[in-house]
Amino acid sequence: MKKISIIAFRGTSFRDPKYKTENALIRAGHVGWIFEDEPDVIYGFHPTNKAVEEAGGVDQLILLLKGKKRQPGSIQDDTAVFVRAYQLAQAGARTQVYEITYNLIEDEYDAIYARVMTLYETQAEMWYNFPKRDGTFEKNESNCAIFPSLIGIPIPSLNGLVGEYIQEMRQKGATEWHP
Amino acid sequence: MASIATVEVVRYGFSDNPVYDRLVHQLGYLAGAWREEKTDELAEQYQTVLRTLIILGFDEPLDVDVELPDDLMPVEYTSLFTE
Repeated sequence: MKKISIIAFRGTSFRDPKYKTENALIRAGHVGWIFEDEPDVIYGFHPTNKAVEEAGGVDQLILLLKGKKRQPGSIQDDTAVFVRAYQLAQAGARTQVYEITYNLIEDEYDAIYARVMTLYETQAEMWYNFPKRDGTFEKNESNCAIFPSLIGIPIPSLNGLVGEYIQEMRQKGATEWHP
Repeated sequence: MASIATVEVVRYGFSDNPVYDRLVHQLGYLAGAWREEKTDELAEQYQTVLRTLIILGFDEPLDVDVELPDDLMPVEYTSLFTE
């Protein structure tokens, strides 16, 4: 058996002026995953830098997503984002990082790892969006919380609203993560 | 017994108040519904629920995926976070 962990934190929000200079993912909240064989790297799925530029900036991109206009996303190395969320939580922010671990048979783990490496190395683009009313997505769309399931990684909740996802994750035994 | 307005919001912004939790869940549902249909009726329902939360003492910033575009967010909410 080999382990894959889902790792997640709730964002500070885009309202709190104290965090207005933080990375957009810190303010939005984020979900990623860690492979047992690569424990120092946290991968995540979110809109590409090009999508942000083409939207005219982070605020404009958020406005598009609030209007349900899907955006190209890709798998990225988001390790620094999760470390920063942890640091902010230590200072009182609501960004405590949670982790829940799943055991997979090695063949399954290897297949997922190979899939992620291909998508990461090619920076393949897939559609990112905010969820529908029931927390699910249109076909071929997802967000950081639901994306891992599309590549075979078990996830703790089918609700793509990050706050609800993390609450369910905690109810299922997630523990606090630290770098 | 503590009133709803004084119930402590526990660490990391997760409420220990079931009334808040239910209403925030409702906001998430309505925000998603608005994204799908973009009707005035859904926006008004959302604003009513959020104003109710604020009257009950809720003053936390919402997650971005639970919000509507700024021009549809009630001023009672946005004014909580102006510098």
